[in-house]
Amino acid sequence: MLTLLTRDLPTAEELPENELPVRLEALPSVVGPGHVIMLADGTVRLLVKEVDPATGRILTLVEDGGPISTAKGVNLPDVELPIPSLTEKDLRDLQFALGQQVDYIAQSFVRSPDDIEQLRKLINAHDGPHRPQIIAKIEKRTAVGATRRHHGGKRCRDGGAR
Amino acid sequence: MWRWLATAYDIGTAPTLPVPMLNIINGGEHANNGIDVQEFMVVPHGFGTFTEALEAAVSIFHRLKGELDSRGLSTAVGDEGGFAPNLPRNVDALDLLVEAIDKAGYSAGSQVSVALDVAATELYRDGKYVFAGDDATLDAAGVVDLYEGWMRRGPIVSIEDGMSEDDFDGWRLLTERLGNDLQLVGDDLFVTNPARLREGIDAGLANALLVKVNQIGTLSETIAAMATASEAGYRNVMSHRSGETEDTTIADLAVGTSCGQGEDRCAEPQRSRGQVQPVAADRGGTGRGCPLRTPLRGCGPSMSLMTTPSHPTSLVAQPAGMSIAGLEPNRRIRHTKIVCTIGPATSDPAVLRQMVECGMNVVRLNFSHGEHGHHEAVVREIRAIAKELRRPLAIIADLQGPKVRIGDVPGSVSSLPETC
Repeated sequence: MLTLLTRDLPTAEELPENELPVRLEALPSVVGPGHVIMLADGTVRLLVKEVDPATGRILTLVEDGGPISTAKGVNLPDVELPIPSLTEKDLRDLQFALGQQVDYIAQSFVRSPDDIEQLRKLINAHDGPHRPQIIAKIEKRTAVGATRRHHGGKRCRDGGAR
Repeated sequence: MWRWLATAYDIGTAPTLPVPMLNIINGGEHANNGIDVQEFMVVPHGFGTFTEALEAAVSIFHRLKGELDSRGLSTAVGDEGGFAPNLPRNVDALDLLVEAIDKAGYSAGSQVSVALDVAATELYRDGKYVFAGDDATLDAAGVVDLYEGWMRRGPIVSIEDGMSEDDFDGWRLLTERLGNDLQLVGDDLFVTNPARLREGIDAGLANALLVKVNQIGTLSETIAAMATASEAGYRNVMSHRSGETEDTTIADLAVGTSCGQGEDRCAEPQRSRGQVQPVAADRGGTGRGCPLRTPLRGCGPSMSLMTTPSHPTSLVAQPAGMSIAGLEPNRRIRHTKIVCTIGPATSDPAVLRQMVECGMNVVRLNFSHGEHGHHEAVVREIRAIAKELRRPLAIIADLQGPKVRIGDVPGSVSSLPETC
């Protein structure tokens, strides 16, 4: 078993065995028993057994083990995260990319048509005639139905990627 | 006029400049030579702007004229606007055209391809097709075999009237066998008639409509036929008529309806120039083209403007923000675009160039890694390579998104054992 810590993260030296820090305080409020958590591009797969909202500790079973290191990604295919689809970094990168007149903007972890509309508005608000197309990366199970249903099938993205 | 057309007949897309298809060598009924195919057209699809596309076609036209002169062949321009040299066989015209593309300094297939108007109705006698130049009398399957042989010999992207207008079985066979690889245009088959087009779509005949605005009679019926074609996934090719005047209406139609491709005569580039150019200026364009979108975005139905290099129907400066329609070249070779993510090992200019030469179509910049300065250098390099090699290359900026990361763990790597 492996326990994920989400609050008062210890330093690397103080990290107890079989515990792993995750940089998302809201994680215990969105995952529950039975959900899958993947680490390091899906090479490590954890199954949530118990969540303790009081301490922010999440007890998991390691279904697939493997090497991990500091700052590797955490992917939650079963749940929606309570954080904006476009982060501050994304907004900075978007402005840079628009300035470079790239042909496409790929949006990661798209959850709903609203996420795509938000990006489209930002693209349309940019000065000049250049309007890159949007590629929606459907990386979450919850997004599949949501984007397909949008406007009864009307186009909401210009390309798709998985 | 194009602007009025775009508003009056809202077909759901922004106005786009067409890919010109320029008639350059003539045979068949309209010429006195051994060529059965009525028109050989050049299709300059691998360019970012209408101007460059048209310049390429005109330069090939002149190169071909030089080749014909040096072989003592006629350089008179026929009533379809192309040359009608006395060549013995159809493939001789194809070879000559590919050679002219090559000698003009363009890449046959990736920049400039060939479209044919066979006008096969004229070759159909008692259920067989008579290709006199090839000394062959063929059934429909034999005709498809013949076309396949030509496709191996030159970069053919489109065949118009490849079967007789009443040989529906032949059309069905042609579409089944070559419809995934080629644009198969129905002219005599559909005569721009929405009812005939509907029947053809239902029967699975052809995959593109030749639009002749005065064929059905009214503009409304023409637009209705184009809409029917688009909805069925057929492309629209806007065409001039044989022996046409300098009138520029079809250029407005091609742009206003965003038809995508246009046919005209090669001998009078001033016309395409004469109208598509003013259209461009009218849009407030500076004449500087915008990058050609790779076919990734243009995989839906699209359309063309057929014209002749002798009359390129007024298509020259491309308005800013208005892109030229993408016509997929080499569809028979590859349907998939190759996307490559650029990292530290690949951002070297020499490596990027090799990747382009090996077929990379789309460059992915991963914003989860790398500084803006680094990405900017890659963009600059890619644009320079695209320009130099005359290859359309698209760039994707891939935003990181809301990424959750694990915190500090001891050492560089620690391993989680299975079922621990």
